[in-house]
Amino acid sequence: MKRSNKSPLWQRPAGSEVHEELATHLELRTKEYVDQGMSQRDARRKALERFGDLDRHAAECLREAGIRNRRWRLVAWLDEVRQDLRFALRRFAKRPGLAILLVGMLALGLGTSLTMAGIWHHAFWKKLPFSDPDRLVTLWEEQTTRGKGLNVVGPANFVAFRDGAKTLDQLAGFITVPASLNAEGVPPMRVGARWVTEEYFEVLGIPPAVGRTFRPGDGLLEDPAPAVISHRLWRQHFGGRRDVEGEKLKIDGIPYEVIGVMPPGAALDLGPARAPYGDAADLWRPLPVTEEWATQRGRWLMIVARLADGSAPEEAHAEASGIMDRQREAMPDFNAGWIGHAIPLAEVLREPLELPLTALGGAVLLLLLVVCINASSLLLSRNLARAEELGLRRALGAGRTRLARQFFAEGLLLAGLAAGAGWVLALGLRRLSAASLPEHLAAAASTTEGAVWVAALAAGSMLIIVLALLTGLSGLRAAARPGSTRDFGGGRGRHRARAGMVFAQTALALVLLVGAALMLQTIHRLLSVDPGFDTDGVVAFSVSPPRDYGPERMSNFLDQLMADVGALPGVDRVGAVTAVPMAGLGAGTSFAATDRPEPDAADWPVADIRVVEGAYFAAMGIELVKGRNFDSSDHGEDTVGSVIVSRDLADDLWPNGDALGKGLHINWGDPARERRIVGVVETVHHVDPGTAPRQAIYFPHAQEPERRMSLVLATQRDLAALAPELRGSVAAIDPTIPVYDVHPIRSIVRGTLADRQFLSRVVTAFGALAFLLSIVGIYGVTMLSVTESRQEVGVRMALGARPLEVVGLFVRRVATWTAAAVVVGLSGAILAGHAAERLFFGVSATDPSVLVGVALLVAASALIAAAIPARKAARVDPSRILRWE
Amino acid sequence: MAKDTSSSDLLRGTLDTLILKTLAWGPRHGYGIARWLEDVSDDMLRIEEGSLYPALYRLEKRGYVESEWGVSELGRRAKHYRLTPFGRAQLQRETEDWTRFAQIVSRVLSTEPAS
Repeated sequence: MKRSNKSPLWQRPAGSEVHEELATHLELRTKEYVDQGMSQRDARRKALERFGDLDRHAAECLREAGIRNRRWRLVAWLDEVRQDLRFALRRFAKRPGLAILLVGMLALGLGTSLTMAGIWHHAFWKKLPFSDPDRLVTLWEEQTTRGKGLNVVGPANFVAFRDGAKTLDQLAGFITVPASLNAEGVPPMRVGARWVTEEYFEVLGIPPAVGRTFRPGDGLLEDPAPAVISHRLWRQHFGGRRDVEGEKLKIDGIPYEVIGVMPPGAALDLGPARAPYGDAADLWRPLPVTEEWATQRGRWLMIVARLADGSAPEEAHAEASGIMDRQREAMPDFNAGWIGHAIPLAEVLREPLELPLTALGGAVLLLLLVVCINASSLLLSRNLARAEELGLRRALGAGRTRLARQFFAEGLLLAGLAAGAGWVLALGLRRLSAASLPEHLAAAASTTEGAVWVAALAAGSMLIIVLALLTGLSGLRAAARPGSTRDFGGGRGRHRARAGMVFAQTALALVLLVGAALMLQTIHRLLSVDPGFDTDGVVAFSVSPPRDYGPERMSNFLDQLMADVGALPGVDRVGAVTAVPMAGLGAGTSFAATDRPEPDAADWPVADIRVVEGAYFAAMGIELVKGRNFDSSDHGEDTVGSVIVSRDLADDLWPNGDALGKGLHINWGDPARERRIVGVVETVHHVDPGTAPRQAIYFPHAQEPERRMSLVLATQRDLAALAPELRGSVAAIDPTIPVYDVHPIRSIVRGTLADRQFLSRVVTAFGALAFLLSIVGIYGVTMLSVTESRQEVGVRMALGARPLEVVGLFVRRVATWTAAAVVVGLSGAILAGHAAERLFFGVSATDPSVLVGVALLVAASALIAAAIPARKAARVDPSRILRWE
Repeated sequence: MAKDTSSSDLLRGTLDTLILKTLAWGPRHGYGIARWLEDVSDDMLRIEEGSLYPALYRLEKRGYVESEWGVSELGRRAKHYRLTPFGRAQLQRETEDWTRFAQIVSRVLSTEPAS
């Protein structure tokens, strides 16, 4: 059977081709009748009559053409889809406003979801770049009486863990400290230097990108010491040269030789909350474990370990607890009250991100829901409006599946456009969030796996297609009931669906708005907390002299620097401190008063320790409540040291106010040395405005020298102009010392709010958007209702109903729906609020004024949005309405 | 032709011949064929137009006509059919058959009973 068909291969006669051929015939015949003077409708009817049974003839044609061939069917199907797409495109082009609105909304929902999926993937699901990362655990200590959570480990206990742990294959200890990199011709750069015990790279299992990592014996090398550098440092400082092995570096005055380079992402960062010096590492150097470690006091090590084959993290935890039990017996004064923890690495990295990212994810999900509901609503109205056209197409022989395919094509087109726009939006959002997210979340935002985005996009697109199909099919169902567009009874069912969708949006918007209100309140309360120091007009910067700066040289350096900086124009007061409040965790230790019996070692209270110099308190605006600041009478060699304490410490130990002159024993420096209180200052928030302040003890630099100090100065000058002068002052004394972390105190304080501020902005934006969409939706639904009920309104008004009654008719309907939406929304808000309780400060998750306020706002807006079109209905002349029909 | 299924085979065959004859006058689409038949028969030959199409498909399957997509007068896509040489020969055969058949029938019907 020869198929003499001139058409190209891909245009086999297909079902749609048959239909098209027959449709052309009908069109031509109809035109003939119209030209003879018939109406369009009559002409079409006559043409159909004359044609005969359309379906039967079409089926016969198909049979004759032998469309049983499956391959033809597939090609035919694709061809039809292509046609459908073209048709859908044409229809969208006819109503561009609607199309843009739909695509815009869907792109917004998709784009934010993509960004969120990427962030979540990076923060929670992505595999860490170490070999077998699920077998890695971290070890911590914790002081049970203080309840401050995980603490770094003491070297003595590190040795105990290392020697005693059978559930752990290998242990490595490390600490990251800020250091300065000095090189010819470039200003000194601040880097993070990580001191690691020799098993470190083996435990983590990262092969180097270039060269090698440490091997046994490296810890003994000193001049130069071996160093592995980070990928970033390699690129920045050495230009990414492959022959970098053997290159020399000077860091903190110590000579190093580069032996290897790490691949990107290898700098394990346990986060700012977990370490005194939570810097990302630029350089790894050996940390020699000496015999003294077994008896050394102090806690400063982070430990990462690999589980032995067959051991579970819980077993490691139990073992760590057991080892600490033995350590408490072995070193009671040092270890009393301390216990051990072994926590999987993944958990430690994930934990600080969980709440903010979950809250963010929740907000994005709510927005997506609102967008989907809105899009469905728009699509539904549009499909209902063309119910007649659909009915006619049915009559012309288009099967139900054919029409369903049309909706599928529309959904495909919508999904394609929205996906494209959403992708672009997500790229922009990614850049935006990397810039505005707080640091530890920004890392999660700036890298994304293409695969994750594609998966999320595919899921989103399918959702859109399903929506288009569902709304289309329900439009079909409406078309199947002829005349139902006018029929009041049939309209009610559809109207209810639409109204339901609008009010679902309202409920969701309410949840977001409550969240936004609570977050805004939280920020406001946090900002209005008095931190105990001046937030305006104070500037800080840090310096890190090299290791060869002894106490005396450091002291001289500080004095010189403070004098020089103080001499700068516009600088009023200068001081120095080990750690500026709220700039990250500082050191702390336990202490006891000498004028009473010493409590058990486990019960010694703990205070934040700071070493200060110069006019620190004056510069920071910390009030000196009693006594004096440190001065030249506090010498290093004094038998009895001087300390200044915070007011709450003084009030706690000496409630009747005579703290001055009292003595303290402090586990710092020389624990045997007695310290006398020479001054009392106001209590200061050292962590963030939301955390209750801890008692603080201040040492004079002369008596407890420290190498890394931050300078604090009171000035009204703009920092941008002042900063170069500050750097200049340091360089004038010693050009090898880097200056870093130059910030106004205000931005440091705000930095602690970064998480919440970002979240509150996002939730507020989403809430406003959702609110707007739902109000517009209410307006639209009421408008629709008004147009549909034209007849009824006309009748009522003709029978004497007053305009106000008519308005009340519509508003009442809206009021019931709004009440339901408010109830559902408030319940949702309360549930969500409880879950996110930790985010809020100074306001309860179920604060009644917030709940009532938002509910009133939403209700009032909804009623107004309904009243406007209702009023329009009431104003129309009833006689006109009745005549129109 | 009415939907008379008892004589459907004969009628279908006749329709095929009529279509071939139409196309002998030049290529047309389905509507064009219907209109030509209308005009030539002074609208006395009332065909159920839809049945033209299965017929066309049949003829195409047998190789008597070939089709090509073009554009109708109103701008819509329309399939145009054209007679093949094979179809032309078939038309010749069928015309002869029909003429002979008509002559035979006519002869039989024109006989008078002997009175």
